[in-house]
Amino acid sequence: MVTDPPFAQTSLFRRLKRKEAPALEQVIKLYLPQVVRTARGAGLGEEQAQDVAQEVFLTFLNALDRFEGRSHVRTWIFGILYRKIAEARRQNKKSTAEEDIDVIFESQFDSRGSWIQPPRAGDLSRYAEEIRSHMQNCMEGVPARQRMAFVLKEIEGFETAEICAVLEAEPGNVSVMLFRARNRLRDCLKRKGVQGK
Amino acid sequence: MNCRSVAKLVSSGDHETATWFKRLAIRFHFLMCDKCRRYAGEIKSIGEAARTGAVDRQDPQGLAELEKKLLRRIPKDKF
Repeated sequence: MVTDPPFAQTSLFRRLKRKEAPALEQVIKLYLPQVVRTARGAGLGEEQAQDVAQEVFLTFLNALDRFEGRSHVRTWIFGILYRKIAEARRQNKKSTAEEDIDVIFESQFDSRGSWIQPPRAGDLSRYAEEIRSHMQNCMEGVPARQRMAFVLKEIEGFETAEICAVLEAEPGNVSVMLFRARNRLRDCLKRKGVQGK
Repeated sequence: MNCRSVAKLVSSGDHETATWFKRLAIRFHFLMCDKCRRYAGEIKSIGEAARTGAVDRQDPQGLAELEKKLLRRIPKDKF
């Protein structure tokens, strides 16, 4: 999915600085689909995701003179995207279920750390098929920052280092966000009765 | 290594960056524990379902129009 290696596009960066139009078109072609997909994954509707995506690139252009190329162009674009999504979601005033996922996770194990509520045995390919129709609904229950970390990791295939740069977070925090997002999704799917049997 | 720590490592993604010894311990645990194997399979499926869903939702024609719209909005003095 992600074809270019992160933190390695210095020639693109120099061409952008020189205001070369083809370089700009290349950046848009390369990242616009990813930016829209991520905005959708983060919970914005199609129209709002498109508006936010345009704002991201216009902001990127306006700030280009200040960009020193210490991070990858993509990381910078996604940092802008992350802030724009946060703004848009504040306007949407979406509330998310805040039942503590850490407590839910722990409740599945006994004091020795063995499963007391084990994952149900069954056909995993059936499970994979059954969850597809519920995924989007369950994503709504994942808090914004965790959801963004999950989308960048699973949908866009970002490495942890780049997620840290986009979200301005420590690697340990990103691990916790991913842990919570994945277990919240799994718990939501379980509550919907997905068993893969 | 118990089931709770294996599940934690798998769902945080920390198993990818763990030491070779820890990764080996996880693999041994998987050999003996079908519950954790199943859990890891579910976590993997959840990521894959999110990815397929996001790709399926994409509309190539809409993207091409958006690209044109965006290029029109870029001030000529900028590029």
